[in-house]
Amino acid sequence: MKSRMSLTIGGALVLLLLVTALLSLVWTPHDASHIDASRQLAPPDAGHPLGTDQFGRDVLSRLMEGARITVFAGVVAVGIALLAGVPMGVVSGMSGGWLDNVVMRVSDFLLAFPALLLAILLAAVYGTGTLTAMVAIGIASAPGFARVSRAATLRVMAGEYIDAARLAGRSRTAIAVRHVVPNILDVVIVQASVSFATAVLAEAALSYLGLGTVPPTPSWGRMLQESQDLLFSTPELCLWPGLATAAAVLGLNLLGDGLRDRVDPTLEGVR
Amino acid sequence: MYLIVRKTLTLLVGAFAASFVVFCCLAVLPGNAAEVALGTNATPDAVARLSEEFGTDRPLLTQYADWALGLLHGDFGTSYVTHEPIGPRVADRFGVTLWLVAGGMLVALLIALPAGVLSAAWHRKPRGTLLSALSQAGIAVPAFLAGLLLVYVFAVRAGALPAGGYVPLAEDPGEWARHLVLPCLSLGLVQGAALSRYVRSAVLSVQRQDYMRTARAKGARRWAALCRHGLPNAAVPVLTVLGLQLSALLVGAIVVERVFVIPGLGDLLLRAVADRDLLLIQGVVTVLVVAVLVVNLLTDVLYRVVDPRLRSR
Amino acid sequence: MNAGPPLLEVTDLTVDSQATRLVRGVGFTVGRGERVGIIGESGSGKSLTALAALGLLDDGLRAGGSVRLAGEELDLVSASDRALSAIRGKRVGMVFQEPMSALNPVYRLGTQITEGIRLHGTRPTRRAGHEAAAELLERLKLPDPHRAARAYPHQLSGGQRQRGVLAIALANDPDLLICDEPTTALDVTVQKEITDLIVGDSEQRGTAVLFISHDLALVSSVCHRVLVMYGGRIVESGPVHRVLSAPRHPYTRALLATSDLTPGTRPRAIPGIVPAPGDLQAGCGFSNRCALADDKCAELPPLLGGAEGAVACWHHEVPGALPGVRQPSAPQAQASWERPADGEPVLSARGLTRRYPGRRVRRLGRRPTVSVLDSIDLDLYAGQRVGVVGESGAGKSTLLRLLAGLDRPSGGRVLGPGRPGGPGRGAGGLQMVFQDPMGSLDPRQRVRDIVAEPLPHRGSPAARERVLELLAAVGLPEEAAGRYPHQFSGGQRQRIAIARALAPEPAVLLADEPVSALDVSVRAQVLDLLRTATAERDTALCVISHDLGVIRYLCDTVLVLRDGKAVETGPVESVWRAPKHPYTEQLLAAVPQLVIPDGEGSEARRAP
Repeated sequence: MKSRMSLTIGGALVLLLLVTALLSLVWTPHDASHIDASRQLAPPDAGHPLGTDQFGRDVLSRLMEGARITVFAGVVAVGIALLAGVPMGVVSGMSGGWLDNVVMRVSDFLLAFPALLLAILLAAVYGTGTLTAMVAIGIASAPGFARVSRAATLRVMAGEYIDAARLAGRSRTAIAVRHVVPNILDVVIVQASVSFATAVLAEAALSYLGLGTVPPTPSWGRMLQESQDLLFSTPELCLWPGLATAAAVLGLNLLGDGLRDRVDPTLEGVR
Repeated sequence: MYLIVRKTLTLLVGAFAASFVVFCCLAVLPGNAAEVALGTNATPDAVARLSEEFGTDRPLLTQYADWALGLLHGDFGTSYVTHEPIGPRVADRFGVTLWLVAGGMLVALLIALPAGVLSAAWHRKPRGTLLSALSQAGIAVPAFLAGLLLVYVFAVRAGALPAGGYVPLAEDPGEWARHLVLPCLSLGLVQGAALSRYVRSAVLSVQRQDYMRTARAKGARRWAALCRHGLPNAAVPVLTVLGLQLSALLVGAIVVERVFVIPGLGDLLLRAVADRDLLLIQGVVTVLVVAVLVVNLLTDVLYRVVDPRLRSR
Repeated sequence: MNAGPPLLEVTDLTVDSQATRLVRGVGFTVGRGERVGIIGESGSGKSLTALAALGLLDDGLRAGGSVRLAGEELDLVSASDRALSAIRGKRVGMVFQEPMSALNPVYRLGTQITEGIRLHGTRPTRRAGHEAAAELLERLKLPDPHRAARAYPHQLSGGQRQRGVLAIALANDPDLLICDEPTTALDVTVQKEITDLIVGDSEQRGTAVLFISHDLALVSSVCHRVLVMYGGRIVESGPVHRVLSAPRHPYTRALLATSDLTPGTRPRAIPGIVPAPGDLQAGCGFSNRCALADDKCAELPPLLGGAEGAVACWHHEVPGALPGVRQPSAPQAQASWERPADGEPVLSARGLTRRYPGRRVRRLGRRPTVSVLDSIDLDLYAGQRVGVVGESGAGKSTLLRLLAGLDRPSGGRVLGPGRPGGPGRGAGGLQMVFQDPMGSLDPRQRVRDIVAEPLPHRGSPAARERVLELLAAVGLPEEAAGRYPHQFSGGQRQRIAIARALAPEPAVLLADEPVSALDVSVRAQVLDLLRTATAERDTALCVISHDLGVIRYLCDTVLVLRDGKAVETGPVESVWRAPKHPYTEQLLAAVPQLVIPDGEGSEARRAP
């Protein structure tokens, strides 16, 4: 019952994020980077529902475009982590032995590099930018995917239907494709939604530090950083990007939680 | 004993590998350190001279060996930019960050343990759902945003606490504490919310175990059974997460230091990145990664102490 | 027993989850020193009844009605946690099904036992507590009780742990001991030791026992009186001998008939499946599976009776055996099977050995190896049915996996399907039926794809045709092909697994505990299916089971394994009649026997 509530609220928030991001591709109320010196820090009115910032740029338009960056960041990071981590986990879980050992040692080692630290390191080397930052976050999240899908693969491989498939003369690839992947998919989806949230947080943090999205592209973290100095005079400028970030992360986490409750067999045991 | 030796060996190998990776990352940088230090319009002659002074004209492996051997004695080399030795600066800053992390951890634990246990014990009641919803909201707030909010409420509105800065403990303990309250809170609130979810799920899964029923069948009351039989078992998975959380705190400190203008390791790192002070970046990142490895080792040893099933292995 | 007020009096007990009523008004009494059994299959509500009596239900469940314990003012159903805590462990002890998880892994056994004493007043010193725990363990015939008291649960075997749980339950000399399937997870020899301890303690100290089990024979060997539950209600009750010799309720009669796997009888399974609590129909819950059901059964029959027991059935006076339930045996296959004089075995194993690396004795020392299976020879001929019995750790599963080629032997070899020189794994090869009918079917695949898996041309119309044919052969409707495994009951899932195994017409069929996860009432269905399916095509069958009854019923040849070694082999009936090895003898003696005083029973049934 509660898991359905998490799913609904989470799904709605994530949908809102996606729709806003898509909409910003074709329409925003104003040009998000248009600087209007005559309208600095204007309060909200009909033309600018959320007012303007210290450069006279429309806050709503910037928020909408920020959603695009947020989604982009999440997709890149999760995409990299997914493509690198899941095959690693499946192969490692199915083969066992030394290969498994090596893969797990490497992922253990990678786990010692926190995502943000790796991103800072890469930013120092390749310069700042959303893509660089998200590649770093993606690499840092890959071990998580590898571990989760390895654990799920081991669970599947212990199932007697895998033995049955082997006795039926199925090849290892066929077993991986027909039995393993469909059965670990739900776990991977949960991990993806949680990692997406982590990536959104990381992008915001990096942009806040000036190591993520480069101006003038609007990003929520960047907007927060720009408004920090105005905290004493116009605190509401902090409010909107802050709320947007929190809502996006909350939505993704709720979605992941709701999905997990559906997947986790230990929770089904409650009579 | 054997375990500790083996784990320490793993730690050393990990630290070695980490330092090597960090070194390689920065060594592939386009343009060498001397060019970066001298700026774009330096003469090739000047660059060559400075390269020789830095030692960056030698083969990479020699450079690495030199640097790594230095690290073993606590010698981090001399900054190419400020020409100061790096070791003392890192040590100095590390102390500040450590206070911040310790404070953040304390806040996180103070929030997570009661909130997690209660929301698990009440998981079928509205107040349990409320607690769990609060923790969800807490996780969604980035640490720097929490910092900004706290500054707004306590510094801007109430004016009760400083909005930023740092005073060393030795100088004025009272001011030191006042300056650390908000940073530790903003670091700890978010991590505490995340940690409370793990505590909750650990306690929930322990509550379903058969030995809890055995305890109740013996005549233990509901809460007594939970405290005596449930919590020690729930501690095992929570400890594992605690290790990860501590590393998250170390990294979160980087951001929070920026919000509150605290001269910690994160501040040093961000400055080094801005100045492209490679050797300094190398040093700080290596220290942070080794810190994470040490934390992992400690949790590993600790949960063997808690769980007798792991002791014999 | 004795006259006077009963020790435990349960009246109109109900248990509800949010959506459904799981226990539907149960009433019974337990006298001082009396041992009462509750028999039922999964979902009958027998465990919930016991838990509700002690206020130990899960959070989501609510109990109604009343439970009274002699000498207590309170109604245990409505009493507070504080009041119940004073009774639990002091006046009522409880033993649970899973000894592996019933003990807290982080405390020593002794600590967990003395905790029970501590909670109820006396606070012994550390040493006195240890002594008390060791004494209890000694009373429960645990060798080296002092050492066991200092051990952590993971250092003890299943039987030792269950003695520990029993010690906790008996720590304060309770008036009543509630045992919920206390031996289901244990080997037969250990099972006998535990039940002997329970009975012995009850006789010596006058402890009353409420003994819950699905195993009729076990209950008959422990209890004085028995309650039979079905669909959350008591359908029959009475003295054990009366109920087992002259059962009145059709369910009890059918259950007895299907549980009795003695060769020479042909137990017919109860048709249909055990219904989920939500699916129970109005009126008599058993009527949809009952041979005697008619219109009257739409009304709930009351539980009526006297000293000789009570029954809840409109038709309990219908005499004799139920139509179709117990038939005279068909000519027995095991008697007729003879090794073909010229035949080659279809599967043959020589010197089969499997070793695993064991635990190091010293750090950095050499790893010793542990033999799980030691030089096993086995020949399997077409049409033969070999049963392998042994207790846990005997190497049964290892043997089967080696025969199937799912694991590599450390020594010896297997000749047969799927091996060099033998036919391939597909047609005419080797297939297997697994223990866990849920775990052996991919939850993401439709039954049609599951059954077609071992077929050579899976997508072809011929394959589709064959799947329907197979489903019909195992007694499943055509619509089953389009559904997913979770939409079936345990017995039906096992039929699907058998259909898959039969698909390529294998020469050898291996079965790993094929009925141990199933309810008693569907067990016989599955065994009969295995028997007829293999007999039709002269398929060789090799079954492993811990249940000697299953092996005797299904097989013609038996191999007894102990600690990885074959201790005895031979025709089933001669091994049963005259076991040569002392271990076989011990094993056979430990099996609880259904004690039915034969002549008297049938007399009683015929004379209404």
